[in-house]
Amino acid sequence: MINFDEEVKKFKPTLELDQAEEAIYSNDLKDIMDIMQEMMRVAKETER
Amino acid sequence: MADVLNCKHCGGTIQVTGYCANCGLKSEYVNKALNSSKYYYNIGLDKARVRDMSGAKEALKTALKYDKMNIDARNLLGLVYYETGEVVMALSHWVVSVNHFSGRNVAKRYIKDVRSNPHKLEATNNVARKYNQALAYARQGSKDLAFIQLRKVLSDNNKFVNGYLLLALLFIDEERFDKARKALKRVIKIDRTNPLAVRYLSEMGHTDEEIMRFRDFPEESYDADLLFVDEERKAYSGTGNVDFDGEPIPVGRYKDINFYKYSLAYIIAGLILGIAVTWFLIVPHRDKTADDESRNLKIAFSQEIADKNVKMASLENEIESLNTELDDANKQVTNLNKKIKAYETSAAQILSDEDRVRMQSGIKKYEDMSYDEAISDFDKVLEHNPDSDIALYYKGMSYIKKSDTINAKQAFNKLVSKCPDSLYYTIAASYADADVVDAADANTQNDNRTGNDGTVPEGNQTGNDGTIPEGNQTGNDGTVPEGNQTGNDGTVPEDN
Repeated sequence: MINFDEEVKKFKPTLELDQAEEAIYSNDLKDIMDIMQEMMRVAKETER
Repeated sequence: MADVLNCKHCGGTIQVTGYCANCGLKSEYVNKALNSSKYYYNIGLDKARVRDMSGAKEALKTALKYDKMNIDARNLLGLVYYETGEVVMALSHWVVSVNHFSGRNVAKRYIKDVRSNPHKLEATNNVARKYNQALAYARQGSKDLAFIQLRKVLSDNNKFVNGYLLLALLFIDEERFDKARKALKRVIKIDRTNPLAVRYLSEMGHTDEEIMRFRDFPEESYDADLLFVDEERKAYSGTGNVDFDGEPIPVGRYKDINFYKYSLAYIIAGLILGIAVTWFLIVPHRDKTADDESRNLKIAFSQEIADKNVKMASLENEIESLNTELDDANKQVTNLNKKIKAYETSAAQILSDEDRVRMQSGIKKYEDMSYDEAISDFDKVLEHNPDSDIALYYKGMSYIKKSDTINAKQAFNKLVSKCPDSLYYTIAASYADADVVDAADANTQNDNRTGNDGTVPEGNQTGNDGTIPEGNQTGNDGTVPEGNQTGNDGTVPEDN
């Protein structure tokens, strides 16, 4: 059975225009290649 | 000359070891990541084509996790967000896309289209704000306010999936499952595999086949708008796009409208309405006007007739009074004529001094029985006064004394004919000829008949029966009683 209070908590507020900049930065996150670069950089620093 | 391979991630030279001299990434891994990104992009594209927006979102997000520079995947993800009503998210992805690749990027056009209409952009922002407000109300338990806000939200953006989902949840909570089902069908139409909508439908007791049937309903007859609206509310919903429950109102298809039929119906209805207006409004008004005019005319004529009657009555009264005055005037004229005649008679009897002396002399001689001399005196008097009744009387009486009846009759005949009002008339009539007396009586009666009152001037009255008024009687023997003799000429015998 659907519990209204529980279900309504799952709804998230939608973005407004003044939040667009924040959304842009959050959408331009690192991809898997950025993560690999970061891992390599950390590994090299660890070897040193 | 050997081919130089460049890193597909940063463009640096790939060394013999297979690693990029610039970014240090192994070329094999980079290619693998890029291929994976393209793979998920293709999946996302396929799902977007069948309106599986939720699946497309997930696939495209995965594609971007492998390669954030995948412009196509990012642009498509923006389109999917835009289609589900999340415009701000769509704009953010398109901006990032243009930031990564500013060449021929379709995201530029998308951004331009959205920003070209400031009102639409503001409306989009309002939709987001109201949805957030509705969500806050729903969490606080103010469901009525949440309904109101959602109605506004869906009126401005009828593709806002999250709005429909929240609306369906509110309906389910109020056990208005029919309305919830319609909202969820709308969601399914926009996003065929929306997991929340599918779950809610399942919770409402729909089987997977039914949900699949909702999902796979042929587009031709799948007019979700008709299913959303109940007829009564649609009738009162006006021109808005959403009814009271925040559900879109269907707009009839152009091809379904037979304008010719409706035009004909409108013309016929207009004609009937015009005839009805003429019959019920104009004709009674005209009849009433005519009745009023005729009534006013009747009133005017009645007043005029009444005025005329009053005037006629006054004129009749005037005529009557004038007739009365005329009668009075005629009587006065008659009386005056009689008086004039009497005066004329009296005037005829007035003698000059010489004739008066001669008359007294003749009467003296008559009394002294000197009849011839008396007759001579009377003839002289009669020369100047032929109508003198005294002279005629004594002349006739002198002839009687002389037994000369012929001359006596002549004198009395003249007296009777000339002086009918004389004091001596009765005596004269007894000696005069009968035809002369009758003629004189006839004249007298005519005169009396002409004078309507039949009155005789005072002092000249003679009784028709032959009598003489008291004080004026004369003896039948032709003598005048003593003490009673008065001459019409105003003279008095000497012995009196």
